[in-house]
Amino acid sequence: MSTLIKFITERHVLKTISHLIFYLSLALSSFSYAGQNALDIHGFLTVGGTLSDSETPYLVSGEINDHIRFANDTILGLQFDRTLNDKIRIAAQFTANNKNNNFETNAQWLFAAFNVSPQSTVRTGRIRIPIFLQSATISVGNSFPWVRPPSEVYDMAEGITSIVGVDLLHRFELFDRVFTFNPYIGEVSENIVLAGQEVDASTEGLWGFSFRHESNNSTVRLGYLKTDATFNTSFFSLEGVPTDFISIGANYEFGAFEVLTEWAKRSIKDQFLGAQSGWYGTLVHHRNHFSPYFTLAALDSKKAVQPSLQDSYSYSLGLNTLVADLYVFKTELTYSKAKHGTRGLFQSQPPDDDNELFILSIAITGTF
Amino acid sequence: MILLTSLITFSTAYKQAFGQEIAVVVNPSFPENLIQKSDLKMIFLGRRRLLDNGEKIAVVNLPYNDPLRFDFSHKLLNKHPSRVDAVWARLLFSGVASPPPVLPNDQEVKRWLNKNKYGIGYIKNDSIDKSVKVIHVIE
Repeated sequence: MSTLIKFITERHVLKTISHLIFYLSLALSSFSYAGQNALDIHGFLTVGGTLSDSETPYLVSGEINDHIRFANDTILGLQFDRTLNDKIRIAAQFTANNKNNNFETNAQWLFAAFNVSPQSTVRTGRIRIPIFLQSATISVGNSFPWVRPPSEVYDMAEGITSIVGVDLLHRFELFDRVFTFNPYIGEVSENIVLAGQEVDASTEGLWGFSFRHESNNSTVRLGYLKTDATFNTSFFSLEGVPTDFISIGANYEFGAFEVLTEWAKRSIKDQFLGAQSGWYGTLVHHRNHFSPYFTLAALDSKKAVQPSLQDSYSYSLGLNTLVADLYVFKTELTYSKAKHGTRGLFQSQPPDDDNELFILSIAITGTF
Repeated sequence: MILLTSLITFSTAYKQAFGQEIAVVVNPSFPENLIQKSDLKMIFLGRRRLLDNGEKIAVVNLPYNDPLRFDFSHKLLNKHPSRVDAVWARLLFSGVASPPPVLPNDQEVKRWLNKNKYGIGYIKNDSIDKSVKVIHVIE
């Protein structure tokens, strides 16, 4: 089985299959008669500013420091969607963010979807990796309560949000509940920042799944991913390192309150990078146009060496104010501290007397 | 200023809609017993998208500022209309479903239901006629 997955996820095999299916869909789309189905275009936008009281840059992007910056959370997205017939749909989502001050454009996802049955859809192309509770809409600011999802959990993916590959979405209903099983295989080849270093990361034999249970007022989600990862930098090179992710998350609504919680663990079987586990819990109170919230989060690392060790915790207090339908003004104050002499979520090792910070974040976010 | 205007609009809307009965309606040929009352919340939040017979459910909505929608969202879904829209936006931007079409009034909802055999919407109880079948009434 693992040999088969490794063969299918070999870069050239997977790319060839994905490209063939995707271009076949494009060809089919060009043969469909004009006016059969319109192209749907939607978008989302977040303009966010940050200010901290620490000189040491914070988070993977390093864009949060003691100057007012609009780089970390500002993002524009456009989504194109065309349903060709009952069976085939093509969709793409592109974003531009200002993290490197250049508004670089990326395809977040770009896939052809085939409805193989009323309950099942196969998608191929560039697809989201369903690692976390908010993975599917991680760029869409008004799909979650925070200015940005808690970094103690979401930064474990080091900014990787998509794979090139194939997945299956299978939904079934049982006892007034909806279950979604989402297995996938694919590959990643991206430039990321790992342990403070710019790294060319690629994978071999990547596979995983998520399982989601939804009821009237709750969602519970389990995710697992396994791959052999290769990291190349000017300082070190690691080939075929066994890597896996496991995560479990839930949200639950009771009256005007909502709880969101998630735990995730990333294991890289290497003495330098080691393992990390993180969690958060958020309580939101929805009251007409206002939604105050409080978040506790923590990150711990094991079996690693500096600067891969990242132990930290944070508290955040925020207020979301609805200014129009689907437009929310967010304010958030976060206190974060690096523990045990590690760099925590700072981009680099902070001085011992400056290993904690406050961050004030504001954002206006909306969809159109 | 926008916030203040929105607050006043919603307060007025809620007062106008308060106490009005709302009928959840479908096409007259909609098969019996395919939807239970307990399914409605899942359907209008986009979580349930198929009927037991395998057909796709189509949902229709009223405009964001319509008092009936405000009342419907609070009474059936226990959410502010903006939170309902946020749920649909999450489905849209995760690439799995599109938000329901928004029609201006009860008459248009009834016309739309006549063209959509597996459609479901809501109108004022006073607007019920033979062109639709009532499956649930929200008091």
